[in-house]
Amino acid sequence: MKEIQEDILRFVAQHWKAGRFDPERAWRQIRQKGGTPVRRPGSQVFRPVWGYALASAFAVLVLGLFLFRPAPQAVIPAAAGVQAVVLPDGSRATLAPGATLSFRRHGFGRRDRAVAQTGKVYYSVERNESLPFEITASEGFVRVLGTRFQIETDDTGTAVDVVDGRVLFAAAPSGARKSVREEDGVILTRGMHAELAPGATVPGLSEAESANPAAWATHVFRYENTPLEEVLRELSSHFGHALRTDARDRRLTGEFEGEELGEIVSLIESALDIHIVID
Amino acid sequence: MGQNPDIRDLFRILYRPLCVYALHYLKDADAVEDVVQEAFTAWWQKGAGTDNAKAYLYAIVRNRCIDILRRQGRQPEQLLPEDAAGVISDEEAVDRSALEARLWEAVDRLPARRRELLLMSKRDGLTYEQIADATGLSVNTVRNQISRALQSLRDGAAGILDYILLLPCLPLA
Repeated sequence: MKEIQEDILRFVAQHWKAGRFDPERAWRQIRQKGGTPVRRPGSQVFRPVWGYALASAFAVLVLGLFLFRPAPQAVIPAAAGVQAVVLPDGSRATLAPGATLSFRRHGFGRRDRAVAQTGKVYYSVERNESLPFEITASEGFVRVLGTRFQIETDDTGTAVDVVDGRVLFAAAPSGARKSVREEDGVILTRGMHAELAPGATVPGLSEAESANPAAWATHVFRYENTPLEEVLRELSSHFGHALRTDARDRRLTGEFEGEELGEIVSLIESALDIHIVID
Repeated sequence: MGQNPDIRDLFRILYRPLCVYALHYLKDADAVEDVVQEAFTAWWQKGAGTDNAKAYLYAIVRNRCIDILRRQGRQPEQLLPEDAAGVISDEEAVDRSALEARLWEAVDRLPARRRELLLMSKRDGLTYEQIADATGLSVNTVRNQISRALQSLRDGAAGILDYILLLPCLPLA
């Protein structure tokens, strides 16, 4: 058998990550953006992304069209369910119940990509090297080029969790400080979590509460050598079912996608060759 | 334009090789997936002809990568693809991408623990002794596991012949 050239193997090993470059996932991503030949891109500003969000997204569309005429601000108001919207630049935002999002209608995607939010919002930002995507969330400020992350604001401050990519997180500009430079904040990359307390000038890094804080929006659970106990705790609280196993000291690496607990659990069972009980 | 099953198949076959190819230019996996997905979208919008699809897609991906590097302020002589050891030619990057994509899939399929040992060796450049120290396994176990992982990769790479046979009508760029 012919040997594989060492530098070819090294190149693959250096860049390989679980789930990366998966054509099936990519196909779904393109389809969600309306980019595959199956579904042509629509012309409206807001398009429903997921089936179950259709009703609320339609309400947003109607309201968006209504607000459009003279008003400079487009506002996506709070709703009781999860809302998924596509912004004019193709970026996607998923709003948790009660969250709001607003942006200047004219020039969004051309002059700037600036939005303001309240509550918890997950973003999947279209890459644009020349026009950063900027979010003001309470006292927090986030700037990215193209990446996936979530921002949550409440009385205790602003928290950012990064799923993929590179994110600048800082305090929002105020008073004499009109713009935000990199040295004013912290750079967050994949899997990192930071919080900005009320009145603080710089966010602090801390441990995320769980491995996949944005799973409510992405339906993706990604683990890298994560203790099984932690995995089961996260899945339990996400799906609302207690999970038990005797093999608690095992560790799990892999990416699971789905809205069915049973499906994810059986994948873990076969990957680790263990038994898990769903209560 | 209706849904064409060939398009879905071609996407399945070419997506990962194109990503790995673009990785030789950009070395940023997120940017790479954006570039390749945009290239497919552009191809579909142009009518998705399948006669020279492969050459066309590689060309779009190459142009977009070079655009991005230029915008990052790279000089013209710094717009070449690179591998783990240094600069390679564009033809080389195209030729290798199919094999690298095969290896990538083979790494995907490895059992998680064996894969981690392989990555510690090939990605992090650790010796078997260092890996044994870090994991608490014996040097013999590490050597066996990595040798089995490499065998799986060689088997995966052998399938590259099937890959070439699958695309008789798609000339190389």
